[in-house]
Amino acid sequence: MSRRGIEDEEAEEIPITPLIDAVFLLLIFFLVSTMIKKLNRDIEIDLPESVSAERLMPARHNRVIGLNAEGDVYYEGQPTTIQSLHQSMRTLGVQDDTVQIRLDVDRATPTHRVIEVLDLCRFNRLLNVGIRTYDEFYNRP
Amino acid sequence: MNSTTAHNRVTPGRILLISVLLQAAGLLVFYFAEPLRKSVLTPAEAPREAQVRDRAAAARLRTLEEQRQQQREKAALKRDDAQKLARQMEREKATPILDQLRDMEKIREDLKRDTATVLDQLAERSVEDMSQYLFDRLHPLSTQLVVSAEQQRAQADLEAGPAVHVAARSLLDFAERERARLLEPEVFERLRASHGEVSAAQRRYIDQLDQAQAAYTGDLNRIRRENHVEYQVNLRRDQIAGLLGEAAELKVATMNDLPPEVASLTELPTEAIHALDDLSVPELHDQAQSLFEDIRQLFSGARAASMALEQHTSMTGAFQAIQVPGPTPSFPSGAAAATPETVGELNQYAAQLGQAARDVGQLWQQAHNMGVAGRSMAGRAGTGGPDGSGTPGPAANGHGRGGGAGGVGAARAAEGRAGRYADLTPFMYASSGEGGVQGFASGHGGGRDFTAGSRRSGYRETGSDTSRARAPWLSEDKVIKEALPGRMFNRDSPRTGWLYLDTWYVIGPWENHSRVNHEQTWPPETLVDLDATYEGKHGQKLAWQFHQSDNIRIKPPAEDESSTYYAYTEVYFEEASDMLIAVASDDAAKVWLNDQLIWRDDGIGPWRLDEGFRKVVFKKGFNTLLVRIENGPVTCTHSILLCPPEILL
Repeated sequence: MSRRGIEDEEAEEIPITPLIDAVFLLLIFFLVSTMIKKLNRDIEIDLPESVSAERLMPARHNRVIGLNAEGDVYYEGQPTTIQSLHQSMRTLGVQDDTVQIRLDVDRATPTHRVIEVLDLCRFNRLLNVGIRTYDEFYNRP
Repeated sequence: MNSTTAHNRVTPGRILLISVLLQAAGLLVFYFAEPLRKSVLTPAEAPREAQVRDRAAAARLRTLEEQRQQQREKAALKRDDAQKLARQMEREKATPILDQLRDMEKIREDLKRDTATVLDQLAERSVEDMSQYLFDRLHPLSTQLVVSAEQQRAQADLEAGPAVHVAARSLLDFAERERARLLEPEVFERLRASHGEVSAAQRRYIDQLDQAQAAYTGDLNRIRRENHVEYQVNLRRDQIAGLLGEAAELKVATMNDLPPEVASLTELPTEAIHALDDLSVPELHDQAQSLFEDIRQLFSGARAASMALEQHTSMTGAFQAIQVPGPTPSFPSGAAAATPETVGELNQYAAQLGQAARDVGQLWQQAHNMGVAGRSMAGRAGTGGPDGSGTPGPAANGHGRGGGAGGVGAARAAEGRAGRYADLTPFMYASSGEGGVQGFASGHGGGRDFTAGSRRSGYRETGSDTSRARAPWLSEDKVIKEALPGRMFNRDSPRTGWLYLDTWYVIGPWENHSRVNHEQTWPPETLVDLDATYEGKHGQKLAWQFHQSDNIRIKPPAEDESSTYYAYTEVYFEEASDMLIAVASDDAAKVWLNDQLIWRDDGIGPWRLDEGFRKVVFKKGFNTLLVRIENGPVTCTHSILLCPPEILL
């Protein structure tokens, strides 16, 4: 093998260490951002299951109302009061009544509480409301 | 050596090959592993078992995660990093808080102006106003006493025998005599002219009532309770005695006196809080509490003055009666903003900031509600005095069963055909859609229609001679069958009939001791706070309960005798609209539309769909309706129906 041939082979080497670094950084970024999103909006509830529920792509700008088993109300992952929720829904209805509302309801939440929130959305002309059910992939720990 | 190195080198071709192979392997696993797992677990029990296993695994994972979390929380943070993170978190939370604080400052200034307006109105209240008020209230009550006695006599004839008949006859004679005496112009002139004379006349009157009451109390027990007759007689007697008792204490100088807490309200500092941007979140939280306290005091003053005007009571008494609780802050006031040193402390710091932001949000929310109510009260006060010139007496305040203004109502009531209907729209328009209840229904009466049996189709003329106001007659069966539930009106949803309000928040019971006593107010009358809890009858904890009915009649969830309930709802109108509102209740009721009293019914009686009507203006957007229901014996129910007036014309 000539000297020139060896030099050519050395020149063709790809430094994979920075590539791996970059890939790992990207991976960490997506993991962290996904976890932050989940932490910000999800609450600890036992979701009901459904075999006929339609699987929808998560909307980027949806709003999440949570109701836990005791009937406590959460808005965008934060505890809130029913009076504040009235105000939030009113503001939302005025700003954009097409926005998707995701209702996260525990299987043990009192039904009247769910109806109250659904009625509140409807009264504020927020008709794009979906109830979240247990999803094997999304909810699997 | 060179050849070995060259042999082990990673070439682009190899990298490509390896990555393709890895991807292919991944895809194979992804597509085949899941169906394979499912095919193994095909028996019927498998999914359930899998579910159980999944849940057990999830629980184990949660435990592990908690352990890891605990370890993470113990991890130390670099001081610089911790400070930087804490500052960033604080900036994020402070932005919305600053907006809310600035809005609260504006609310405080507006409320200061509104409170001053209402207090000015209170200061103009005179002895003539108060005398006129008593005069107007006594007329219909004495008339009702006669009617109750008539009913009692009829009942006695039917069921209780001659002894009760004699007692009832005695009551009737007494009531008629008293009414005739009260109607003598000289008596009323005397009542009006002198405070001392009023007191003497009252005492005499009350003594006579007491004697009559004692004479037939024993016999009354034999009359069946469900007929409500005894209850009505007692009620009228108590109301008359109460009114005369009020007159005995009538001293205008003290009636209008402001409690010390209110007197200093309009002198609250007006300067805005400077350098808000430099404050930390805990400091902003403290500022919000301070601002809210100012707003709460201003609102209390305005509300007390408004109630004193509306109910013709003393300002001090009204101020003591109202309760305006604020939200209880969960963030400790003056909490130190220490720099967190571990991840756990940082998380705790973030949670505290979140709590502070939520507290401020709740304070702002309630301050906002108070500001809206304050504007409404100022609008109402600005439209004229409670009984001043151009404004009617208390009957015109929506006191549906009271006598009419200017003597018309009394005469009509005596004739048994005073109005159940009043057109309140001119006064609502005059007050720019936000106030004006004090001026409602001038000349339209509002007295009680005692001709319950004479129903006929279409409109019945009632009210004043000038207005020729007409109240619709409703076919109960037809309306119950055809009325639609709802609380939204827009151009695209034409209504061809009655709409009943089916969705309410209900709270109660509070004790009313089997007496209609609208002067005893409970917290929802001061401010509706759907998250608040109160102490009710027998010390039970009361909270607003969501109630949706598939029936025109709305019943409180825990119905109790001798109790007071409140029901609250909102109605949406795409455009400002005149509407006919039909109010019916069992038993007495008061109704406020956008914080303005539009209906007052002091009577104890069964629910009747067409009990009373008001033509009112609903403003564009959201409108609030608050109903107070006084339950006597047995049933408690109410209904509110809406209909565009042109449909019935």
